[in-house]
Amino acid sequence: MRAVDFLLSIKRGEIDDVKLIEGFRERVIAEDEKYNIFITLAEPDESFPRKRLLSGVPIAVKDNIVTKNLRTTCASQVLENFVPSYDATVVERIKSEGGVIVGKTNMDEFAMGALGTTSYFGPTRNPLNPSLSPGGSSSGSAAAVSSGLVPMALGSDTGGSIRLPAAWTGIYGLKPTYGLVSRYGLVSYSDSLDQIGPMASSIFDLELLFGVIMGWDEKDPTTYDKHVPSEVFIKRAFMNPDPHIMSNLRVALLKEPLVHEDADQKVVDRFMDYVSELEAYGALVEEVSIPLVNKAPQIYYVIAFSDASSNLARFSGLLYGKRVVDVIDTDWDEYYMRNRKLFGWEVKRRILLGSFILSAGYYEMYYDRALRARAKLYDELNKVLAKYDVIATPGSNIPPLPLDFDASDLSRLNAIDSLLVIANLAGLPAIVIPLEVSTNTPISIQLISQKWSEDILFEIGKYIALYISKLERELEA
Amino acid sequence: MKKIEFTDDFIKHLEWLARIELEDSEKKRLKEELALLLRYIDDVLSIDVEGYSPYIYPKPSMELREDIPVSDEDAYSYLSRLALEEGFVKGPVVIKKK
Repeated sequence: MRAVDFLLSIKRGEIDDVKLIEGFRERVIAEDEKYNIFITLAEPDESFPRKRLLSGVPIAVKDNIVTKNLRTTCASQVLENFVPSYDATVVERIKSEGGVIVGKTNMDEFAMGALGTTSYFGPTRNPLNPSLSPGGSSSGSAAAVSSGLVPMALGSDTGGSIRLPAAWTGIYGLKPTYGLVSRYGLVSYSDSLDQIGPMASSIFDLELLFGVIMGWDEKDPTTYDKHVPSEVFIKRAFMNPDPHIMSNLRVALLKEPLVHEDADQKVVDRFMDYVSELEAYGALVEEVSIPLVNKAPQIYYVIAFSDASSNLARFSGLLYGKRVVDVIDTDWDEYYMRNRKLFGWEVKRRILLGSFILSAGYYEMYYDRALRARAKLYDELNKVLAKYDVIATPGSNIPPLPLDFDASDLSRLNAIDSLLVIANLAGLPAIVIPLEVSTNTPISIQLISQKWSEDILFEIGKYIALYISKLERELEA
Repeated sequence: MKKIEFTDDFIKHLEWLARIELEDSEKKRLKEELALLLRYIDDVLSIDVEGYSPYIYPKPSMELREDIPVSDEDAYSYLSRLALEEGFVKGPVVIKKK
């Protein structure tokens, strides 16, 4: 059941808010064995504030978002025993609205991975088909929502880490505009790309959670204070969409992900059937081409790996992290190098490559050039968005990959990365909306819009969910 | 730029830059995967970026909040007892041992 329906029933006095979290632990124990969703479960707590926006709603949180007195591991052996002393701003906002943090979800180690398979705690499985990857890096949050354990969860998205798992598990996911959700308390991977965002089994719940977590935060200087007020999203989360939205909509259909040499033709064909539906409902759809999109993953690799080498320098076992050797047994250099052996391979190779890129002689060659290419991509995307309301792509142009997929096959990963990382590189908001859900080939659409225009994405998303995919029914508000 | 050769010395240099000690099997794996990754990111070199300035943060100007100290009475309970000595955090010696 949708959280918004529960909350409306509570408001009408039909049910008690405690009922939402009753039986949660039993369900988790049964389901977790199948999918490996949670790294740490919170102790049952019924002391949440009553009669608030999220009172009693169980919410799962990705394990790279810090939670006071609740272990936060980033799915890494390095932080296996790390218990934070404070809550991230987004967690604080959820708790103050009565939301109940039920546990910390599995993920790729330090959010580095596309398949949910680099976790120190083992891979998460896809609830639609346990032999397949749920997508990464917010694999556990996606599986928690997709399996029906929780109606909503928090993920983080540096290069598609909310949207790919949403696409592959048949749920909704939003990467907000850079600067619209506080990153205070998010363990940084690539701070100019990272954003926290909501994941949910209903577009209405997605909008509600977004309304609660969004907005300026004095603790994160990269957040903006000029934006659509959170009250607008919270109010609209309990409203059906504008019935005329499709007739005024201008959609730019991005060519590159559709003709990528590794795109799956069956996925593309089915996606195009739904694009025809958008047109049938009155949207103007025109194809646009931005060839630079095909090289966006390479730009992303240079920037993200360089950022990672710098952001993860703090994990040496001194202030943060587990120790292999103690301070009295060695000197600083050896201490630092040996304790960092605890990183998993994917994290090590990204730090190693990032350190190389930033080293003398290669900084200008790779890093500086990638930053300029990022400016060019930003420019080209915004030129398209000056003419169209949204850019549309499939949520994924390939079906979910098997859990044992060889991640060194960069060509397959390029197919999905290229349509996802563009929103991170340009700081634009992007939403993934499921169109049909199946065990092997879920189909979804991604919509990217101008900065600060999440309101448009939610309105279109609700319309698609009610009248095109028909995966949801109208609210009985 | 000189062509990069994935020699043992080059890998040792990378370990030092990243401050990560690698096992022998990892060094071998790194040589193979770096060759692949560097070929991949070399595509960045072919992008014409003439006229564009580096784009680092989507929000270039950042207003920092006032730096007001806050006290957390539980702070010490979050630190490992191993890390503390007489109220100070113990660090490793910074002068190389002979």
